[in-house]
Amino acid sequence: MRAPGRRLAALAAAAAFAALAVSAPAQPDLSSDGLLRDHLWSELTALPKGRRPVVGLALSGGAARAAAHTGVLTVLTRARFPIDVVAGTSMGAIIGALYAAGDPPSRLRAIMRSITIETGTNWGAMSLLRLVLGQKPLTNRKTEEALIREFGPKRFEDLAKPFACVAMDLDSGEKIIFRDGPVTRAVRASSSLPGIIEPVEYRQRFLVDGGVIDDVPVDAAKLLGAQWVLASVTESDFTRSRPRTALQSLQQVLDIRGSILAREQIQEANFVIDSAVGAIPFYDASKIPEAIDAGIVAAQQRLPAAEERLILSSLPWLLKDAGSAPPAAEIVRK
Amino acid sequence: MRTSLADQSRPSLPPRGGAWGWGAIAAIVLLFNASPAAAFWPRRARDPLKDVAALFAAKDYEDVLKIVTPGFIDNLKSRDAAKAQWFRAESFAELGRSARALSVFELATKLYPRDQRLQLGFAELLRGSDLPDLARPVFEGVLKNAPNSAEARLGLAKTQQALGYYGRSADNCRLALKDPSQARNPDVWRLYAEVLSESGRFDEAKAAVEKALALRQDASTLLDLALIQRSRGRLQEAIAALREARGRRNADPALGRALGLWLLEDHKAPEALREARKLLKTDPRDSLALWVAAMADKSLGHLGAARRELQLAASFGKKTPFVASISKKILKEWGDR
Repeated sequence: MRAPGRRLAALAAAAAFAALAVSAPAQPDLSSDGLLRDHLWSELTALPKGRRPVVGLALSGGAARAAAHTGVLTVLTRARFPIDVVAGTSMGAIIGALYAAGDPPSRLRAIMRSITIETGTNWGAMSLLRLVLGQKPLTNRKTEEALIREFGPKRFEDLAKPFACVAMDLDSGEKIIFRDGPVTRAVRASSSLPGIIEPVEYRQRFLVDGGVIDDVPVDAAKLLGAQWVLASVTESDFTRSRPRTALQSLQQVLDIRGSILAREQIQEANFVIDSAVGAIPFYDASKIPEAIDAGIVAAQQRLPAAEERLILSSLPWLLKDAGSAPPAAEIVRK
Repeated sequence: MRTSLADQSRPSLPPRGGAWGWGAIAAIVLLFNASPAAAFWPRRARDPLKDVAALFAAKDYEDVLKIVTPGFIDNLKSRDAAKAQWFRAESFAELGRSARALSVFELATKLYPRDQRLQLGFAELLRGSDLPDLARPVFEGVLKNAPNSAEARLGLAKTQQALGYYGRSADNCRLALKDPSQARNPDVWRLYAEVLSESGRFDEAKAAVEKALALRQDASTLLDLALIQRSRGRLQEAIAALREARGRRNADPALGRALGLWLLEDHKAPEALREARKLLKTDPRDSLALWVAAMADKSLGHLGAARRELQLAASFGKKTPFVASISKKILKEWGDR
């Protein structure tokens, strides 16, 4: 028979280990700040459009990295974050167009997860050979075809939410902000990575990826009437990479340029959600699920602060009796 | 007949007499061990962690650490050493020395990667230290080796909840609830209800929290019900559940504050004011109670009182910066009105 002391010790140890087992779930945020935020957020989200600030969402470029936007949208939608207008660049334009067309985040995530490098381009041995030897860039015609399959030949005016996307005129270096006309061609132009994907001919212009001139299109969102802009940024951490191939060098140059541009543009945003996707190469579609998860985590962490910032900017509306909205100049402050 | 080399090298069996000889020796040993003479026979070594476990159970964590030093662990057998590392890490954690606890766990989980208890302890500590992104792979690793571990499954569910992966968290809760012992645990139902509610599945969340309430009616579960009802747009039912929760946890001012705010939402300014005054009686510097009182006073037309209350709420910016910012901004918006 085991000695009672030994049994007691065994029981004590078992009890200690059992402490690992299920503990009560975390309490909701019952701090005074949390309770007031929750109260005012519920008041704000109950206000109809027109009786609160016009909220814009600016989605950066970043190819595979930009899949993080779908994670960000998942969290924002869950929190009933009001989004009235959407602007996007490159992959941000693709995601933004689908979201503005009314696709829920779950659908966006599924689309992103199904993407491979061949989905949007004519990637293959022959086309790569032509790119390297014949200097003939790839084409992203398949992106346009996929978009047509997704939401038909819609025009900007037909979308559920006002939407804009950005491209650059290769001849003049001008920034082109699309707000009308057929969506698919504009989105394709916005996501034509220069040097690798052929420019898109549109309205007598040769257009390339807007990321080279306006990676975080806060200004495009404002052009659509946004008074308060949330920017979702998916920057690369170029300091970590050591480019060895031509493709990697090109990525490095684009990333550095995009990063410098983004730094300036996010100054214009009222709030920034920066997903930790810096280590994901723009062409690595296998890392898309990782990017989506990073978007969810970043948005989840920043959500309370984003809500507080929007509440503070919306206070004149919240205090206003039903009827006229306060003048725009009163509201848009960072 | 074919004979293998192995057969050839095997020693020949002893003759019958030899077999008897071995049996006799075994019998003598058995007899000797059962007799009083067994006291002189060398016994199996005592559990080297017996005292440590008792100290740990008695929450004498400092004393646990005095015994379970790296030198002490070095002299233990592998299985005991893993246990000792767990005691050492958990004692550090209990004493609030999380960084030391994490470093002990980190090393120990590398030394004993198959020890589930260590892995779970490490994962739980990472989660509790607000490092859910690091806890996730550790929980997933435990589940890979032990897919039926309810602790790991629920730990992962909570980690996913913290990261915002509510769908996946709900899936893991559902799997855990298939285990009858977990299905009897109201906390698991509460967790399930929370993640369902957070993912916008309010009706399912209500069903889950009702299961929890059937198992245990306490303030926390009633509060969960109140929050879910509010999310479903059932404000009056939410207020009723919150009142019941507060009745069971009267000393918690947070529930009173929430009640005050929800009464304001329900356009019941006089009741909200009463709630706020109750709170202010206990703590006149309760900034949120002051804010609730100000809003209620304003809607009752007591502008002077409302302004004074907001000015006070705005002055407590250190503990409640958001309440203070909002109060200041409202005062600015009101101007000289």
